[in-house]
Amino acid sequence: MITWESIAGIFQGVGTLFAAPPSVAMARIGLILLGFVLMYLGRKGVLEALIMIPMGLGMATVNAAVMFFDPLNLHGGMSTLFVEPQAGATADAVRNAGELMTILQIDWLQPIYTFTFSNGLIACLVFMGIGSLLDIGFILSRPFQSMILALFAELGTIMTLPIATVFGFNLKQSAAISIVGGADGPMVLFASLKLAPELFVPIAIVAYLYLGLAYGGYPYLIKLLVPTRLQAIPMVSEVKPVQFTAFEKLAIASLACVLLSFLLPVAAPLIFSLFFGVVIRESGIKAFQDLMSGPILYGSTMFLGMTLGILCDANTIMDPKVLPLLLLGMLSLLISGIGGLVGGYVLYWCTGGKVNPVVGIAGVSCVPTTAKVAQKVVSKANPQAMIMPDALGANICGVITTAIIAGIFCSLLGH
Amino acid sequence: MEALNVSAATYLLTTGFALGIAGVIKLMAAVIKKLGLEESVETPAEALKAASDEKARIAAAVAAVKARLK
Repeated sequence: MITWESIAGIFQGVGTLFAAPPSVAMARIGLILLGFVLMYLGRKGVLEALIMIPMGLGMATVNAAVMFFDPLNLHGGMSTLFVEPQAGATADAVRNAGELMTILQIDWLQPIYTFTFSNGLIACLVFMGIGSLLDIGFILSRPFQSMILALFAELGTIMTLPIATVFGFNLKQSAAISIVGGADGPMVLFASLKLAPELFVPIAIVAYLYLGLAYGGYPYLIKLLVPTRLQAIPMVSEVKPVQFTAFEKLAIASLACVLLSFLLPVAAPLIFSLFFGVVIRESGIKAFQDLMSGPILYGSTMFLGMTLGILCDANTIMDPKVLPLLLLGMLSLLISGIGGLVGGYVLYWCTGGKVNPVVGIAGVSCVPTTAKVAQKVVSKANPQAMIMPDALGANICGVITTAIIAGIFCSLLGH
Repeated sequence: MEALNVSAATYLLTTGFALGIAGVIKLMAAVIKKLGLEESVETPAEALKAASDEKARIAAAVAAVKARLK
């Protein structure tokens, strides 16, 4: 005799929809639709296709493929065979190792998440690829302008700390959450491990969702706050930037890598990865440069997008430990984006209209997302305008300022 | 109140450190520029000698002349 239960047992994606609390079921349907919308916007070129298409399909599929299976008993008996970001999040190290081994043998994307996401490897690989495409000559020409933009774009980090305490988090936890405003995944993970290890897993999830938020939300924020007339400013400097030879760039990149690692060991993996790419580019090792700017960059971007989408599973997002952090993270990124654009306006006024205010958004150190977002918006307003070099400079300075803030938080509060 | 104090102190310190680092980067770039690390440019004769076949010899010689003219 075929009953409703037996059908639900056969087609578990549908069965779990009815067995789950209505809020989770609605969230699942909403996220499936959102996944399709992201794919559509990616395909249409409104949002970044490289991230949005794998992310959208991942998001839609993971919310469809829920089944009556929850080996770690974390989600009320329902989970997927994709990834379990909360595996190994207890205070007991032995139990954590056991949980993680179990999940690594069950969930097909768990190895990608555990071995490249939660330790920041994927961000470092993206940085290497970006470095191999980056001409640091532009950054060296205007370090103060880039640093000022980055400082404005840290507004979210600074303001979210007191706001998070209002939500009931203690000072250390608030500091760990507020670092999300710096939009720098590995830095967020480091601060969380040092300041609030009990929040590491939910913060790790939020730390990478920021990428999707930045890609999706920032173009609209720019259009809202910067009129088209100002978006079209071409940013041509009257002062010719100093020209550096490849040998000089190689020397400067090597010295800058060691110097910044001395000052900011917390950011050393990212700093090394970026400058390694730059050094390879400037040393003319064509085979390595092709490897980094092609397979490594695009391979890691693809897995980044796909895993981001798969992390947007309703069970994870609706988790009471994750949801407030997600809201605070979004707020932090919103304030940072606004801060960056305010910085862009300040430079626009100080230079008598020679700086395009849109470049300010790139002060949010989400390398190279925000720089690409800025260039894309500007190109639509004026196809001749090129702000990418200045935007990348602000991007890299954003990494530096976020590392400084993480270091200061850890020094002030980490005891 | 404590959270506000921590935020304000962090921002002030960050501003100081960040502008200091920008200054160091600018200084470092100026010093290296002053040192004049030029690309080693080979002479057309050296390029001709190093190239293996006729086609490569012509291409190498043209590239070397162009590099010297820069």
